[in-house]
Amino acid sequence: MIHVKDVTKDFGDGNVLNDINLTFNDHEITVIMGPSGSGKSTLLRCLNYLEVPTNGTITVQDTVLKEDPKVLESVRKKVAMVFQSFYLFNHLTALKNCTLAPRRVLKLSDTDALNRAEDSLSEVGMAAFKNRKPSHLSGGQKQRVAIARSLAMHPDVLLFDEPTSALDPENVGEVLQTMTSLAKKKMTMIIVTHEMQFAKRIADRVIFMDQGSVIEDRPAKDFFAAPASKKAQAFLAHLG
Amino acid sequence: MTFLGRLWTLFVSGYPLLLEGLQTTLLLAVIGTIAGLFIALLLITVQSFHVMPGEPFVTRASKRLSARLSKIYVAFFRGTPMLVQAMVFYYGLNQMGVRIGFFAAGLIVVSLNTAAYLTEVLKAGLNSLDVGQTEASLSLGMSHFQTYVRVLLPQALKNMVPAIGNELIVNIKDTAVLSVIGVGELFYMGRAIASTTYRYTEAFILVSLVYLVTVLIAVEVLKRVAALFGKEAPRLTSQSEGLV
Repeated sequence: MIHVKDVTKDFGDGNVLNDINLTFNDHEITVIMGPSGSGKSTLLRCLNYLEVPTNGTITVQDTVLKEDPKVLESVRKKVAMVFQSFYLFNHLTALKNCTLAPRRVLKLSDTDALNRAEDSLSEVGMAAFKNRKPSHLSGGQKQRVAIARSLAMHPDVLLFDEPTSALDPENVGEVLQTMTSLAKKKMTMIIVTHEMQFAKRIADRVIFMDQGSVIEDRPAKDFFAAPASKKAQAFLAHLG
Repeated sequence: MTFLGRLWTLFVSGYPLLLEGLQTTLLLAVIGTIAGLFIALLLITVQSFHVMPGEPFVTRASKRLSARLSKIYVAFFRGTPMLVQAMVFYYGLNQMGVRIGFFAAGLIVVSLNTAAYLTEVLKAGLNSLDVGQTEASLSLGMSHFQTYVRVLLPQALKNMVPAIGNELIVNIKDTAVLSVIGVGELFYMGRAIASTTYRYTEAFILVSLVYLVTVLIAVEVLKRVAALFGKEAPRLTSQSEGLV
């Protein structure tokens, strides 16, 4: 469970997040949508404190986040993040990308870490590529390895920050398919995406943001059937 | 006798000295570069400590202080000539009653100097990495230090292989200044040959040729080493490519 209470975020000149109050439940798949600049990525990055809110508190399973390395490390190992630009560790093979944190953070033995990493890579269909370096993988493959890297931590929550936005169109499908199969296992997922059809298919809940505020927060079915706000209507119409 | 003939005679009579000098030069350059790299790793590491508001005051203060000292060190060694450092170091130590040999003094000065330059090279290498590498690592629960050691440093080091090679080549040549504190390296031997034979021009041309051949061989060796890391080695000539 993640609680967001009275969270605001200022970046020097502008107000990026505006008094956000939300609760993310376990085993719920939430999609955050909204025009670019609406603050959805910033909100997601506040959830694991990659972005520190200007005001307000984030609580992850009863732990209140603060800028203390011990607190953040203990929370981040349970809240994994998948980035728009993958950010695989370029000097390591796909397999070692997946064993690094389980070994160093969870202190697993080499064998246990290896088993986990191989399971995770199989889960995203990348087992055959385990010895490749990121520079020898396509965008879609990199993102699947990045998902495997997160899964190897056996996290409670998976955060996705526009996971398909940096991909060539022909690579989007494989990543969405991987995420769909994770969704079927009822993992807790919070996803920032512009992929409407995908969102319709897997989301339990949709949060629609605009100019740093949450405009709508409703069950996905209701949202897609009839968005309440003009902004959301226009946005959906535009995405088609 | 022709000029080339004189050069040859000088080489034949002087080559034991030249060889000895070359050996010292190479020892200074190679050991100095390697030692410098290790010191640089230490210097850049304390500069890279991440200070978090949630940490105890003593931790934060000592991190800031060590970073500051490291920066002062680099500024000092980059801001003064190695020749002058050698003088200060050698005479300073002896005045304090610390007896230290020419070679040891020279080696320490080269190492300390190389460390300052390589610290800057490493800093540039670290800064050139995408901030996403850090974010991805932190998001997995890795500490800032683990991120630095396991993710950032290996990538920066790999990228700086050519720059380390470059520093080695610079050191082969720049150790010549250590002749002022009596280190018997190649240039020192050249001066010895010149002053005993009074063939100044020939002696220094001979020394130049030994430097040139040594550097050319070093460039070839570094090219192969860099290839192991998939990097382009330093070159002696710069290639200008016109805009198409």
